[in-house]
Amino acid sequence: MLFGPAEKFWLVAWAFVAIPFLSGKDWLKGLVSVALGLVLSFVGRSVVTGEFRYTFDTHYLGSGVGIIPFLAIGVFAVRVILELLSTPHQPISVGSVKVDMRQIWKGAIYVLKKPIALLRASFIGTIIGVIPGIGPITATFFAYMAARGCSKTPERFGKGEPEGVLAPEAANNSEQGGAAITTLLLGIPGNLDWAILLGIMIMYGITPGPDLIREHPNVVLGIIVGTVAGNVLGSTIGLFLGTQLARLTGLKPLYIIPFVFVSCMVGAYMINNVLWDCAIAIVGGLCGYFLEKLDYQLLPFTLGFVMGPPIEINFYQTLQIGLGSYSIFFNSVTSFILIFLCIASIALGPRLRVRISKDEG
Amino acid sequence: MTRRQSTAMKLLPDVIFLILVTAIGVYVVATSFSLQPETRAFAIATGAILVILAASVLGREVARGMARARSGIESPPAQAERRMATLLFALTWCVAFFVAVLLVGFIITIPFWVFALLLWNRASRVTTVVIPILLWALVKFVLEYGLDTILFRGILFGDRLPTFW
Repeated sequence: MLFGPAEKFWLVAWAFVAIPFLSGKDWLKGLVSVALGLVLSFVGRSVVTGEFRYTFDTHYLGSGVGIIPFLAIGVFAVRVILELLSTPHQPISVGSVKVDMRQIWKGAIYVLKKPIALLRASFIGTIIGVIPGIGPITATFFAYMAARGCSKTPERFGKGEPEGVLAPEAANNSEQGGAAITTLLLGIPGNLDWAILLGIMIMYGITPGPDLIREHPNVVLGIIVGTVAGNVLGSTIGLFLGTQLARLTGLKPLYIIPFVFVSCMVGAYMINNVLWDCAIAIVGGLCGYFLEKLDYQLLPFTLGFVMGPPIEINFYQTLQIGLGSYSIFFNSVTSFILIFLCIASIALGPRLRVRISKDEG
Repeated sequence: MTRRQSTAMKLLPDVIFLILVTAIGVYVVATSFSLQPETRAFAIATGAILVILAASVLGREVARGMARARSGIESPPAQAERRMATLLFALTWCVAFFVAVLLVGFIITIPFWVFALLLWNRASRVTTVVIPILLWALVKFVLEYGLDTILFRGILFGDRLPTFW
């Protein structure tokens, strides 16, 4: 068997050490972020024995820190509310937004006229997206450089050349597809969006990883079809309502905050009809705010929080198979390759980080 | 303000955060010893790693801060101070919403909280009145009547709070 519990354990462990190096400027803070997410995922019933732990003898924490109220609503939505509440009068877009409908359609037709550039940038985006944690910025950078290198008029790049917009945007969108490959095939989220999706899958008892496609082909197919349908729908809305939607960026956050915050709180309450979920969402928002502002990175934290239960289950399953002996963790070639990757990531990670930072300018 | 005070002020959020993270790690390690032997090892190892990493970052940040202060390139603390003040202010609004819902429920809190927020931030008179009514109507008619959702009505109106402890 290529991927048993020991190999799955090392695979997730590799993601834990590699992603902080790839996704942020400060890898040590990224590692703290992973460990913190992991520790918070332990709260509640043990996934192995069902024993309560780290609950401070509270009834509420017995069911754990919920992925939706704490992570999806708290860390990702309430955090933004806290930021917006700090600057309620500053419009999201600084300049005045005036978009001509004809320009939008002209742009859409231009993309169809450049299929090679589109495919090249999409391919680059997909490949970069496969590497967890690197993110869309690197993908857009490489796509832009490739488009410029292949262009007959590279001097026009940076001076309004449409291909200089086409390539990064195509890479930016296709990066999501690449991230889906790692998420669905290996169970390692490629980026933040997929990390949340993975968390929700775990919540519904769908174990991510190499067995996912075999055990739940309907889920994988549903995600793929959903992604395609979402892109088609998003593009259609963009084409027909682009001019109207662009005006929203001129709104002051003060007028958006009430709608978003009330939706967050009511949404958090409606998950279990428990008011404490609203409190945990606010705590999550505060936690996310500090993680973001102090450069601890959200992706490693999300990864640790979401992948905590699966890595723990794999750890104890491996120990049970090995009858309590830790040597079982080092028994296969795949394990050795993954351990080597862990060590290589720690050894080469800081240099790679410096290189990526230089490339991103 | 002296340079040392300035450095301390700038470092404060990071240091507080790291001390909190270290405390969480220590708590996890300490309490894990009382768990069943089957689930102890992984939690202790993770907690210990968190403590080591957080302590390393803490040491490094303090050393960096001191070096910055010595070299005289320390930025003024006013920015960090202002950021903390705005965060506390924003957090107060969120906590106030929660406390109000706890006492009088969603249906009463939503319009009054939104009204107070807009009034405090000097929004135009029309929006200060229209947005709270609109949001109240949305929650009341769409959620309560449309989707038959029972929202929390507040402990002052006889609703029971789910047990926390």
